[in-house]
Amino acid sequence: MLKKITIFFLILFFFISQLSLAQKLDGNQVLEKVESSRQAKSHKMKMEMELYSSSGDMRSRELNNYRLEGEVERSLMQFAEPADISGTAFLLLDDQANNQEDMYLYLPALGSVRKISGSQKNGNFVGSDLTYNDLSIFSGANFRDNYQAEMISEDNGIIELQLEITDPDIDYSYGKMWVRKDLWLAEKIEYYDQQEELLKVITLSNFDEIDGNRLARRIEVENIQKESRTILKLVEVDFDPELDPGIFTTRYLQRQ
Amino acid sequence: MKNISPKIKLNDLFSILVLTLILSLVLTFNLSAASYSGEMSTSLIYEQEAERWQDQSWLELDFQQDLGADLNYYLKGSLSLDSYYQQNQKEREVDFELKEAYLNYYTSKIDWRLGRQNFSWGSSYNINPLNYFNPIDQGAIDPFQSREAVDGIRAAYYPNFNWKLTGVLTQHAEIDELQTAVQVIRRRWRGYDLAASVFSGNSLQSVPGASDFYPEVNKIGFDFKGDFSSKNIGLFSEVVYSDYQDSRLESTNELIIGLDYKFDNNLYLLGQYYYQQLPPVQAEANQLLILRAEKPFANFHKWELNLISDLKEGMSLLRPKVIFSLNEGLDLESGAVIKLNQKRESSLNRLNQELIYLSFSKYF
Repeated sequence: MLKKITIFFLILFFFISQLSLAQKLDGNQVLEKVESSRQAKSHKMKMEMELYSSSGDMRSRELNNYRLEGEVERSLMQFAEPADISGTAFLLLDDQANNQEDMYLYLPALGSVRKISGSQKNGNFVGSDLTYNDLSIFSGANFRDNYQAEMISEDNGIIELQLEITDPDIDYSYGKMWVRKDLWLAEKIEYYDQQEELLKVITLSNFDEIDGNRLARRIEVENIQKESRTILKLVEVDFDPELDPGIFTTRYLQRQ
Repeated sequence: MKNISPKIKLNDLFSILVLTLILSLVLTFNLSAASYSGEMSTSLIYEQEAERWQDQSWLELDFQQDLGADLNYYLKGSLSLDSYYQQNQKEREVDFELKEAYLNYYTSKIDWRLGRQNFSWGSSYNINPLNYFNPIDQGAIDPFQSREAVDGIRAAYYPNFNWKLTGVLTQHAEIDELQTAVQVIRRRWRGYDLAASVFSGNSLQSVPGASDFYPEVNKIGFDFKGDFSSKNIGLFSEVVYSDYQDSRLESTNELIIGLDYKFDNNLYLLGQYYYQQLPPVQAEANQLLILRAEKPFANFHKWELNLISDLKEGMSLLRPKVIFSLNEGLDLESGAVIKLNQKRESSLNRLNQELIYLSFSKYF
C-alpha cells in the first residue's frame, strides 16, 4: 500500500512540476520552442504564390527554394512561373559571424549574375505583401535573432506574445504572435507600422509534420492598409536533403 | 584611316557551330529535355523629329536543350516586322536575326561557351565601359538596354567559390578583327565584388569624326560593387584606361561611379556619374549624369523614369515609362523619349530621337 501511495505521489509530483514548468515559460522561451519545431539544417521547397490586388485581380508565381545552414547561411530562390520572370534567381549568402550578407540576382534576359545591394531586401518580395523577413517565417526563421517576446496571455492552448523588434532591418514598430501550444507553431502574426497602426495580418494553417519538422503548408498575408493579400502555398518539401554547396554559388546561377 | 584586314575569321567557326546545333536539334529533339519561351510584342511609335509613324512588331523565341548533364545549347531568334508611315509613303522591313546561339560545356572547374553571345562585364547601370565586346543597339528604343551579341569563345575557370578567371576570344562587332580579354573576379571580399580585366583589340565605337575607324587599343579595367553604411546603400564603380596603338590618338580614361538604394516603400533610386575622355586630342571629355527611379503601383504595375544629362553641353534625355500588367504575362507599356535643352553637339542628340510609344507584350 505504501508503495502505491509513493508511486501516486511521485506521478502527481511529476505532473505538477511539468505544469509549473510550462507556466514559468517566458516569451523568449516560447519563441525558442517555436524555433525548435524545425530541426532541419537544410531544405528544398516548391512554393506557389498567389497575389491579389485590392480589386481582386490575381497573379501567380511558382518558385523553388533551397536553404542550407552552416557558418554561412545559404538560400537560393528560383522562379519557375510565370513566363516573364521564369528563370530569375536570387542567391543570398549570410555570414553572420562576420556580419556580411551578399545577394546576387540572375536575370535570364541579361544572361548574367549581378551583385545587388542589400537594400533590395527592403520593400516587398516580387510584388507580394511579404518582405524578405516575412518570407523567412516559412523557411524556419530564427525568431530570437529578430525579436524579443513578452507573454501577454494564455488561453485555450493559445499563447499570445508581444514581439519587440530587435533587428534594425525590420521596419515594423512591434508585432503580436499567437502560438498553438499543442504544436508550438504560430497560427497568426500581426505587424504594426511605425505609427502603430495595424499593417499586416499573417495567418498560418494546414499544419503538417514531416520528418520531425512541423510547419504550416499555407500562409496568408493580408495588408490591411492596402487591402491586398498574398497566399503562399507549400507544394513540396524535402527536409535535410543532400544539397551540394556548389548550387549556392554564382557559377551555378550562371548555368541556369 | 583603315583597319588592317583579318588574319583569322571566326565566321567559319560560327557557321560550323550553327550547323552542329541544327543537327543536334534534329537528331535529339525527341530524346532530351528541351525548353522554350518567348515574347510577342507590337509597338506603335511616333518619331517627332522625322514626323513619321512606325509600327514595330516582333516575335522572339528562346530555345534551350540539354544534350547531356554537362552539355547544352541555347538559341534566341527574333523575327521583326517594321512599317514606316510618312506623308502617304509606306515602307516595310522584315528581318530575322539570330540574336544569340551558343553551346555550353561544363567541366569540373571550367565553363565553356562557344558561339554568338553577350557579355555583361561591369557593375554600373547600362553604360559599361568594361563591356569591350557588345556595342549598344542603335535601333532600340532604349539603346543602352540592348546590346548586340558577338561571335566568340569564353572560358570561365572557377578555382573556388569566390574566384573566377575568364578568358575571351571574339570577333569585333563591326570589323574582321579578333578581340581578346582576360578578367579576374574576386567575390565577397568584405562585402564587395572586385574585378580587373585586360583587353587587346579594337575600340568598340568608331573614333568621333572618323566613322568606320576602330583603332587598335589595349585596355585595363577595374570595377567593384558592394554596400556601405548600415543602410546597405549600393556603391559601384568602373574605371578603364585605354592605350591606343595609333600615334595620332591620345590615351584615355573612363570612370563611372554610382549609388543605388531601395526604400521600404519599394521606390528604387539609382544615380551614376560617367566621365569619358575621347581619343582625338581636340575632343573634350564627355560627362554624363544618369538618374533612374522606379516604383511599383497598384500591386502589379510599375513606372520608371530615366534621365541622362550631358553636363558638358547642358542637354538631357528624359525617358518616362509606365508598364501596366493587364493579365498574367500580358503587359501594356507606354513611354516617351524627350530631349531637354536640345544641343546639336551633344552625343545624346545622336543617341535617340524624340518619340512616344505604346506597346503590348505577351510572354509565354
